[in-house]
Amino acid sequence: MSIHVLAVDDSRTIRDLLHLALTEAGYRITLAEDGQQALDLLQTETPDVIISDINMPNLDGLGLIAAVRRSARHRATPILMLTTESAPELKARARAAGATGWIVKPFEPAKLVKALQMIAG
Amino acid sequence: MNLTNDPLAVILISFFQECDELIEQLVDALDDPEFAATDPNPLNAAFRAVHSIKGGAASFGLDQLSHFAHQLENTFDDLRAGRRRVDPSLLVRLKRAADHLSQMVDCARQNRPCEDGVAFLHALVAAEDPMAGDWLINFRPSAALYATGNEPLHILNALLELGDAKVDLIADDLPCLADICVHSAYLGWKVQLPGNVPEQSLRDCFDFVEDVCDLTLDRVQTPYTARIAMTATQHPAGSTKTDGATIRVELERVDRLMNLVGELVISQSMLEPTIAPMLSDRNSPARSAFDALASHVSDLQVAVMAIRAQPVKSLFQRMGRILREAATSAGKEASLTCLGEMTEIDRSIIDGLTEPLTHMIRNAVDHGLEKSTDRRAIGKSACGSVTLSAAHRSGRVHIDISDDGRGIDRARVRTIAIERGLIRADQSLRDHEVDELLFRPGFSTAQAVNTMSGRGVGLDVARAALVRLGGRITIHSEPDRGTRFSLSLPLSLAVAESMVVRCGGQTLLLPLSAIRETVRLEGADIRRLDDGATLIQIRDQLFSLCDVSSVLGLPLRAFPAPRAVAVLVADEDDRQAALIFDEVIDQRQVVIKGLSNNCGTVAGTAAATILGDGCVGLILDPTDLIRRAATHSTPVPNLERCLG
Repeated sequence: MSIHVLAVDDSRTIRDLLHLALTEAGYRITLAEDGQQALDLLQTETPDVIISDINMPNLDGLGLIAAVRRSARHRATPILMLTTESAPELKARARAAGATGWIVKPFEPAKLVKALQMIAG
Repeated sequence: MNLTNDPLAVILISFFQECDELIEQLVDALDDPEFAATDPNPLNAAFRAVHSIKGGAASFGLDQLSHFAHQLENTFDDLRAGRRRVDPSLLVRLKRAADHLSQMVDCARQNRPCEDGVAFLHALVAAEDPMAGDWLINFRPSAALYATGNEPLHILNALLELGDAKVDLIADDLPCLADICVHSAYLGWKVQLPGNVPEQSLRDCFDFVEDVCDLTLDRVQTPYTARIAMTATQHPAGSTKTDGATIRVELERVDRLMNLVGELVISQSMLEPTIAPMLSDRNSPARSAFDALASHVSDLQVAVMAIRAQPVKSLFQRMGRILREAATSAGKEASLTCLGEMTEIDRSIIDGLTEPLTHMIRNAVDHGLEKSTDRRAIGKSACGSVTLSAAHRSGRVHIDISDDGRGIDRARVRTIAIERGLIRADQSLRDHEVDELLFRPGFSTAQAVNTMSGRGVGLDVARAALVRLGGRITIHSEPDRGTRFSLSLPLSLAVAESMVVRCGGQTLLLPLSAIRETVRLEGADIRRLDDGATLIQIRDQLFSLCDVSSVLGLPLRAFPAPRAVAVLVADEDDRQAALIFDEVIDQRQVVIKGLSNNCGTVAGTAAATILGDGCVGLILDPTDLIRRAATHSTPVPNLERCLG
């Protein structure tokens, strides 16, 4: 069974790119536009891994991570952060919130898949 | 790039000249035996040379050359900083890279394209140091690793994709079930990966978890020459073993073990006759216990011998340097080819071979190979070839050193031997007898005493060193085709499978490896020639027959014993002779004890052993006996009794 990815980004272009890259690599993908929409989806969906942007309206990435880590059902779900720059302090904040790994935008599909393998097998 | 009208052209020409000098310095540094050893100077010289080439090439826009020199510089820098170690294989690759650098300079000088040397760089950088120790990764996740959704399994899987990995779980901290806290981390892993995996690839696997685990990356330092297989019993001497886990052991400890096993073998053989009555019943408990003991002692002996056995590779590799030094100093071109490098032989024999082999390699270059110009003149390739080969044959290790040089100048050898008073001027000698003169003490055909193989240290010294190892040396030479020195050595200095024989009231041992056939003397076809020599016919072939008693000076019997046998023995050149013994007793493994330290050289014998009854038994040297049988063919007394 293919690995189920929940991808969260407010940019339509990024969502499209993620969809294309991950579908081609054989992942099953569900898309959300911001943190809140992602949390709503998590009421019913049980993804194997979450990919999330940091800066988003309604609920940002760091808030989403914190909420996921608090939930009993999704506490152990790996979360890959999408960051626009490799600012170390942002990485540190994401890690403190409970992020599993990170990848810098713009991403190469191959690197994204490799990062996913490292956290989700 | 056309620089003919460029003011830079003049500077460029001088740069290329400088490059030639720098490459010469680089090659000298790489050839220095102290390269990257205790003396830092050669390594520093190599570094400076490629650094200067890199800088110059970059300022002239010779990117290819500059890039290549830069990579070499990095390698030397790693060596200087101790991040990498020099091993023979890296040294060979560095030398090739230096050759390629020289070609690149030539190409740049002539403004023609050149191979970019990617393959060389790959060999230097990517397939890094195949003899470097394996990676040992110690990985202990913290609780935060799990809390952030990371999974060690995925990381271990990523490591497994990098190469043949050995993963060990560290569960020492795991408490009993009742005490386990699900939010704590207890487990760790030790992962061993091949040394050629780039460090960055390893680090990439831990990219997301560096801050939430304890991680150490180390090299397991296992220099090739000190590798001793722990799994010795599964790899009997002579087999090519795979690199398992290894430990370093002081040679002295192995030697002590070897000695103890030898004593054990002797104790066992002393025990056997005393409890013989209990052993006569095949089904008795004593018999089966004794059989088990004998079998275990024999396995133990094989296992201990395997610990001491090592491939001759390290020895051969040293000879490459000796050859290059000798060639440089003699102003000749020479290359070394090694065959059978994985042939295993006892460590102490390898140690003892260094000196004689060094001498023979130098001898081959100094006296065997011609100068390049002379070689071309007679249609040979400019570069002389020296071949070292090793192989197991009939329970011994054979090592050949052959060159494709001019062969032995027998006329000159003869002249010198007459000058030195070694032979009479009118003495007629066969070719092999002339060749043998080379082994006579003090003989040297070098026109002038040179630094390498000269000054009194002749082949006689090399031969003496080999004889001390239980080895023999023979020489074959053809004019203009080359010369071959063939060495034959025992696998081990410690034991020999032998036939136990009686002769003149003595118990003697004859190494089984030399025995071809045994025939009863009674009724054998024996002929006596006019000159007194005695021959025996065994299946259409005549062999000289020699009474061991007379050679060894044992009391002569009135006539051959009723159960006398003729044992057909052969040396490594397949010269054969039949030796008369009074009786054949048994066949057994004997522990070899040195003889020469106690009583000098004894004709016809190689060593001694301690027999089951505690007495000393002499181990015969078939080659010496055959030689004696052939040269002074003593009449066998009272053979008429048999002939009748």
